Amino acid sequence: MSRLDSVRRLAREIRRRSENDSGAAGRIFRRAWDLHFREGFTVTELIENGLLDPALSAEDLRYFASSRQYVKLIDRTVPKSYYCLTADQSITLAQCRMAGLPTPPLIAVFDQPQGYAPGGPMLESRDQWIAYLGQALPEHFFVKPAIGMLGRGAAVFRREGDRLWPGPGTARGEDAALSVSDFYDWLMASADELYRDPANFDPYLKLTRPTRKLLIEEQLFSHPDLAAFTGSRNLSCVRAITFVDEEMNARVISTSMKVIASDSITDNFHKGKSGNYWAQIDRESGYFTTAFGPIGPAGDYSRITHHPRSGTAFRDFRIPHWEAVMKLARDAARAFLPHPSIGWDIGITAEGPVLVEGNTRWTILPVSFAEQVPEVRQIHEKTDKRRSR
Amino acid sequence: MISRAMGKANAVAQLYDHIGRQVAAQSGAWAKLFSRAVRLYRDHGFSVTELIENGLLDPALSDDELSYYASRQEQVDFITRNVPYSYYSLTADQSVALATCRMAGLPTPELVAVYGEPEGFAPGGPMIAGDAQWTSFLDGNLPEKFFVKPAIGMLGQGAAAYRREGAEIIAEEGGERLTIEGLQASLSQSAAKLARGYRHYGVYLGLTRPSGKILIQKRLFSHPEIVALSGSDSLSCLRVITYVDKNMKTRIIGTAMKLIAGKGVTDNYHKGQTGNIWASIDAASGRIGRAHGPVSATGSYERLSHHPATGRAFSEFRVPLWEEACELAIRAAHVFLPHPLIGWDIAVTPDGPVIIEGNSRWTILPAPLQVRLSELEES
Repeated sequence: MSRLDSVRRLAREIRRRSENDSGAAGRIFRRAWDLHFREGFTVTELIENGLLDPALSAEDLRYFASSRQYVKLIDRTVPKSYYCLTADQSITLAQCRMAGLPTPPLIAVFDQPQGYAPGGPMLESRDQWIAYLGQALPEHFFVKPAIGMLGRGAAVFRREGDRLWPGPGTARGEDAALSVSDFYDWLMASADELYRDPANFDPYLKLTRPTRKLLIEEQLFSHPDLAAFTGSRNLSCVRAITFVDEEMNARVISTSMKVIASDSITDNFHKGKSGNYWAQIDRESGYFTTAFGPIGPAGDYSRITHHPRSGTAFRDFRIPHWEAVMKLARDAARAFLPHPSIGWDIGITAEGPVLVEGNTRWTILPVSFAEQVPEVRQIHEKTDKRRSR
Repeated sequence: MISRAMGKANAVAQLYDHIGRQVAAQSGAWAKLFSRAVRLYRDHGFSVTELIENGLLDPALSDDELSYYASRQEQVDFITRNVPYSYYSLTADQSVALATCRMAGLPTPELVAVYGEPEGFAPGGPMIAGDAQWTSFLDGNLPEKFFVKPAIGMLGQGAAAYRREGAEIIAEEGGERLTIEGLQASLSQSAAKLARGYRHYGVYLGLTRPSGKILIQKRLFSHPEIVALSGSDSLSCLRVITYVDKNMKTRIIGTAMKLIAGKGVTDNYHKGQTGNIWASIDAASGRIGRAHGPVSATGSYERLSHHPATGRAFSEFRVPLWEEACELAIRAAHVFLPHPLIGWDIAVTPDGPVIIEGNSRWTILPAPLQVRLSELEES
């Protein structure tokens, strides 16, 4: 988008926001100026996230950070040598298992030339894989790339005896059952597809070798209360961002949930294009506060008050096992030190919270932080000082 | 600038003296060796110190043999080109390496706990925090003999072996006697010391937060044949370097062994200053080639024909369970993909080979590689 386009869009947004209050335009313009030049928000961020809404107070705004600010926070605090700890989910899983942090039960790590069952043995030949999978695959299971992005390549299966029924997300469709050997062929084809396209891998890892690594895990289902709320048994994960500060306090600095509102097997929001929602959770109480859907005609994320499938108001719903979710996030933050900041995806099952994955390059918008994160402020104060020199 | 020029002049003088000593008995060979030194310096980045210490100006070394040596600079460049920096923690933080090995079922020393502050954990949980929880856990779970080492460390610093005798914990080196509470206090002090020096220990990791993580593991002992050679039951590890090339072909490109030659509990060589030995191993046979001790008066690593502690001839020694150790290294290389290049420390115990650690920034000198680096670059 050109600068001129940005200015035009901003002017339109200011006009829209000040429609009922002719004197508000100047105030909104000053706010936009400050947020853009002092905090690094882009015009798109200001509009999409509704930050020029006069109903938001200056105090409210201090809980938001621009993507530029939190990317800087991540760049300054997370050692790049630790990126693999979360971006390669096989390493995340290994670390969680060793520390006893709950994760979905692992069936196998599929890879070439060798993969393995948890705790061994190594699996190499087609016959070895088929024999192992035949006895180890549970009734419901999930396949996903170990190094993936935005839920790409994830698939679910349901087992009935020797027949495996693919769910949405597999190229085979839902109407043709697979044998275990068909499933092995499907794994090989999926792994090859992953291997061939470097775009499938997190660019921040700067891999020198492609990988075929796929995780096969037992599929977990949402807590019944959450399933009733979303109308889907698939996991809607809490996103809890932890930050271990220089005093080594593990703080949960943001709490939200990616809420399934579609037939998708994953809860990815992807700027609302997936049909799912991103909802802020009050850190102290575990209740939803604000929920966001896809971008509407005015250019900002739509505000969702009720889940369309259950009709339940977001504000009336409290996340089950909330205290346990917060404890798990803090335990995980300490177990993953010296990596200091991770965006955890935590599934809520009937039995309790489960770590589904960690994200180093977490995003937070359209939701805000749960506190006025001083480390973010320090970053822009430093930037201001440099500018004024 | 002046000091750099003086340094270079000093290096040339050192080289002149060294070549003079090498060819004292053979007139006419001086120019040949000088030209070799220039070629190794210019084409391969060997420093004068490397040339002298590693005996690369020995007239007995043929050009073919020399082609298997890589300078420190060549090795570092090769590692930098191949290993994504984002994967350095996978080996440099030994708790991460251990977790990966455990998930894949690769044999490792049994983990008792990861000591950490504010919290550590027992394998599979629970999280443990505070003096009282740690003391109670250690009292109930420490095996008869155990080993502690920093998860992020260098050159075996901070590693120690202990044994339990009744209510007492005895340090194998130094003989210090501790209660369980005393051990906990000692771990806490070590963790605090590590945390204070994290920028030093974690220099390649670029840490931004202190880490005082300490691994507590059941102590393992060497295979009886290695004990007979070294005179020590502490672990003398193999160094096996695996490389997965761009066509995903896996091979072993370097093999050596760090042999304990004293009363220490670790096998670190550290340029021979520890008193231990660095021996090259022939990958095909598992036999020791050259064994190197500390730097001698000539400036080169001393060549040893017999183990100083037992008098056993190195030429007669074959690493027990050699094929199994190599096979383990290959399996580990596959598990650690897409990290393509790791120097494994593998201990051979009576029950088989065990992975002790992996190194991204491995070294192999004074041993040669098993493959020429130039061949690897082409593959």
